[in-house]
Amino acid sequence: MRVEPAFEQGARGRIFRIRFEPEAGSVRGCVLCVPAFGEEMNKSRHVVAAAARDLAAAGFVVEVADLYGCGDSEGSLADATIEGWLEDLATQARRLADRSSAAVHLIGLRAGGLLATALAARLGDSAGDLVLWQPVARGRQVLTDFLRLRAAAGLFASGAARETADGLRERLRAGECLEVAGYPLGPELASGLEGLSLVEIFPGARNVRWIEIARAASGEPTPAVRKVVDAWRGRGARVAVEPLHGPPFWSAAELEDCPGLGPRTVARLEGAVP
Amino acid sequence: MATDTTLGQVRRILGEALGIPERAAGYGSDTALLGAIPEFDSMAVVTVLTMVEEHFDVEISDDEVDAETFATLGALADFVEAKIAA
Repeated sequence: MRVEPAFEQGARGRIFRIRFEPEAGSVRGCVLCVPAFGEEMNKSRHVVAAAARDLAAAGFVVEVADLYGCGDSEGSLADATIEGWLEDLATQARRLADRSSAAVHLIGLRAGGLLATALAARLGDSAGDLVLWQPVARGRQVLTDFLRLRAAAGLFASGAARETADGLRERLRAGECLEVAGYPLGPELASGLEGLSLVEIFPGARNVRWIEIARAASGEPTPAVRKVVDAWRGRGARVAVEPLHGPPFWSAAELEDCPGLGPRTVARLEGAVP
Repeated sequence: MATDTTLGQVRRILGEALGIPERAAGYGSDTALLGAIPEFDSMAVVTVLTMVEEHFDVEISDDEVDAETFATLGALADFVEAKIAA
């Protein structure tokens, strides 16, 4: 298994990506993994890398890229847009597809699940399976989570000066760029996020694996998951929802591992959804 | 089944958010949360709010919550119940 970091040209700047390659022998397929956003990306980075290594050991070429304005990629988050991100991801998928004749499988973690689904819809037949790791169903939720990083301090306070997530959202809508936990959040990205919703994106005719990660599994999909999956199945999508035992590593206070994620994903990729 | 009720689901969310799944399994509607459970700090409040929103597909505005909302598991479950019904 080889790990190869590189910068590749994106639409507006160079994108940092890491490619995990099987050591030798035939390549089983290619996988593009879309990371989480913001602090969730930071906390989950090592888990995604570990899962990517598991996939590579199983014969997949895996690429994980930092989105424009995020991580080690060029650009400022203030200039990032959803459309720009999807364009870069599509370019990355095409480059991966050039390496093998097979369709590129897509994996998305949290907000990355929203992007991966939008990407799957965009790529059509040139994308293979779609695997969603605890996806966030609504971009609005991603934005609220992010804004709460700044508004949390005033949650139980009162008075006109108190900042709320709703108040910050209004300022973004008015065109203001906000600093949140050190990140410059631009109004265009905020508005793009608000427009993304899993229930409104049809992933297409492919196998979709939705993995919900919890320490104590209930065995039942949540009402929110059911809403999206029912809508997708209603349009003919093949979706399997399953629980995986593990911590909420994208949000936990201390960095946590999720050793089951890689093996479970390997087992599911390229297997038909009943 | 107890786990299917709103209280049961909120109890499980609490366990996930605070990292105490076994302890939370024993919580009842009278169990005091904010100020009583050491893990229930301001960060935990945000995590619980977010997990509740994502689990039930509801939106909770900062103006809707106060300390009373998180006084007990029962209070929190009642709040969530009202959000779902709205």
